[in-house]
Amino acid sequence: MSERVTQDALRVRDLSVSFVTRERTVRAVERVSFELAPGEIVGLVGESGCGKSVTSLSILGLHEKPTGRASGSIRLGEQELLGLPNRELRRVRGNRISMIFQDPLSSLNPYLRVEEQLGEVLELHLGLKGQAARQRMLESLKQVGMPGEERLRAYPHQLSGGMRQRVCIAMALLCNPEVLIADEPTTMLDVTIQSQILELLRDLRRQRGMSILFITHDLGVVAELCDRVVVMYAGRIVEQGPTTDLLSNPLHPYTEALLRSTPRVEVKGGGELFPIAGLPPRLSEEKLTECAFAPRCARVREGCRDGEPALSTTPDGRLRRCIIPISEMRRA
Amino acid sequence: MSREPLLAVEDLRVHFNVGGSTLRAVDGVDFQLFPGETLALVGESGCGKSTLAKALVGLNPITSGQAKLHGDVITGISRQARRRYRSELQLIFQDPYASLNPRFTIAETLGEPLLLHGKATRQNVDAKVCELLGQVGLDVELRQRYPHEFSGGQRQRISIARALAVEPRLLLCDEVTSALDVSIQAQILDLLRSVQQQRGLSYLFITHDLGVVRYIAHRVAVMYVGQIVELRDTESLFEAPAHPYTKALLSSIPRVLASGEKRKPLSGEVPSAARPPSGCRFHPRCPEAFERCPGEMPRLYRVSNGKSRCFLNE
Repeated sequence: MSERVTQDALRVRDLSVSFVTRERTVRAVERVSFELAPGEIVGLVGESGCGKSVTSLSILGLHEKPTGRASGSIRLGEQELLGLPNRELRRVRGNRISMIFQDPLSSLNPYLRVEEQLGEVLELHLGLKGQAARQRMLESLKQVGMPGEERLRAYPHQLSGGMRQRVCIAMALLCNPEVLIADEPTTMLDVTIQSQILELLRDLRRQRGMSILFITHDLGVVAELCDRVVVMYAGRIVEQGPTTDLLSNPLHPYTEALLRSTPRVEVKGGGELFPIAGLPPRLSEEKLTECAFAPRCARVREGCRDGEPALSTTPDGRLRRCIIPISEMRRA
Repeated sequence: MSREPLLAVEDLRVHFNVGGSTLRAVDGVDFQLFPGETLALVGESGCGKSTLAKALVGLNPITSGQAKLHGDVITGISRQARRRYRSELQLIFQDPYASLNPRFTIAETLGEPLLLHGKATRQNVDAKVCELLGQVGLDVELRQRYPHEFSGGQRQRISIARALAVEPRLLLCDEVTSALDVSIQAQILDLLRSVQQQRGLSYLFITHDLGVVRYIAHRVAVMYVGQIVELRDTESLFEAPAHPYTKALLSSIPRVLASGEKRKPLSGEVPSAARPPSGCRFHPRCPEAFERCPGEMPRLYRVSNGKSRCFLNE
C-alpha cells in the first residue's frame, strides 16, 4: 500500500481498556484501531455496553482510574496521548481535542453564567481575558446559532436543552480543536432540535475542516451525518466501512441484525422487525473461544465456535470480523 | 367505526399555576380509543403527552373536561371511586428499574397486585405468577430474584407482567422502549403486539419515536403545546401528513436509507405552554403560515381518515 499523503487527525491503534477490580476484570475494549482523516466524520456505533463510550473517554484519558487501564496507541497528529501525564493531557483537552456529551446540563456548571464557563476555557488555554475573550465568546456563540450579548449573562437553567447543547458545542470550539468527540450529543434532544444540531455539526466541519468522532446508537443519525462507520460489539470492532455501503449492504451479521431490528419511519407499517435474541455477552478476563456474536447470530454455523474470527479487509477496503463468505451476506 | 369507544376523552384541560401565570399543559384534548386499538400520542418534550396520561389515571388534577372508560366518568372522582377502575387501566413507564420495588422479588412484585385485586388466592398465586412470566417470555425459575439481577429489557417485561396481572383492558405505555437498545426494543414491541392479540387490549402509546409509532399504532394523535394538531390513521399520517407540524416532524427524522429529498430543519423551539403564541400555536415556526394564522385559532378540520388543526385543511 502506498503511503498516505495526508496525515490522520487522530489515529487509534490496538487500544484495549480493562477495568480491574478485586472481584473481576472486565475487558471493555479489545484491540480497537481506527483513524479520523482531517475533516472526516466517523460514526462509532453499537448498543449499551459495547465499549463505544469507554473508547471515546479513553482517547482523552477520561476513563475511570486507577481501575481502568488503557494500552495501545492514540496519536493526535504527531503527539502520542496514551501515557501522557495528566498535566500535559490537560493542555490538549478542550484545546486541540474537545468533547461534548449526551446531557448538556450535567456538563455545565449550574452556578456559572455562560460567559464564566466559556471564559475559563479561554483563559486557561489561550491566556485570553477581558474584551478579547468576550469578542471570541460572542463569535463562538454566533457560530452555533445563539447570537447576542444577553446569552452570555444566562445561567444554564435559563436555557432550553437545545440551547445548552449549543453552549457546550460553542465551548468545545473556542480553541479551534482539530478533533471533536461527540458522545450521543443529540440523544436527549427532540427530533426537530436534533436536526438543527446535526446541521450545525455539518457546517462546522465544512467551515473549519474539523474531524468529528460521533458516538451514537441511532443508525438514522449515522446515515445523515457520517462519512464512515465503525460498528462495535462486545468491546470489539466487528465492521467498518463507508456509511452508504455499510448501511445498504452490511457485511457482518450484527450490523445486519441491528438494521433489521430498527423500526423504519419511511417504510409502511414500520417495516418488519427482527429482534436480536438473547443478550450481549458479559465481558471478562478470559479470551473468547468463539465469535462474540455467535450466541445471538441468525447466520451462525460450525466454524463460528472455533475461536474468534480476525478482522479482515474486503477487496473494496472494508473491514469485517466474520467467517461467512461475503457473497452470502450480499445475497440477503 | 360504530363500535363503542373504550376510552373517551372530552375537552380535557390540565392547567398548572406557576409563579402567577397559567401553564396550559393540556388544553382541550378530545379523542376516543376503541377496544383492541393502539393509539399513539406523539410530540416533542413539553407538548403535554405525559401530563395527559397522568391525568387519566388521577396523577394530575384536571382543570376541566372529562374522560370516560366505557361510559363511566373516571376523572375528577374520589380516590375511593377510582379504585374500581384501577384494575382496568394500568400504566407502564420508561424506566422499569424506577418502577419496580428493589426489595421485592419478582414473585412478590407480581403476587401483590394479584392478591390485592382478588385475581389470585394464597394457594394459587405462585401458579398465576408463573403463568404471567410465561406470557412475557421470562423463565419462571427466575421468580425468586430481585430487579437488579435483570437487564433493562427483562425488567420492562416484568413491568408488563405486573400491569397484566390485574387483567386490564387499557394499558398506558409512556415511552416504554425509549431506554432500551433497538434489538431489545424490537423484542418488547413484538411482545406488546402479541399480548394485544391474545387479550384484545387497547394501548395508549406515548412516544417520541415515530419509527416505533409506524410499527405499533393503528392511529396517531400528534400534540403541539397542549393540543392535538393532527389525529389520523397511521398510514395516512405517514404517507400524506396534513398538518405542517406533522410534516416538519416527519422530515426531521434521520432516515437510515437516504431518500434524496433535501431536509429543511424547523427553526426555533417549542414555545412554553405558559406563553402559547396567539392564534395557531404553530404559526411562529410554520413555513406555510399566512395572515389568518396569528389572529385566529384553527379548529380541527376533517381530512381523509382523520382531522387536522390547520386552516389549509379547512
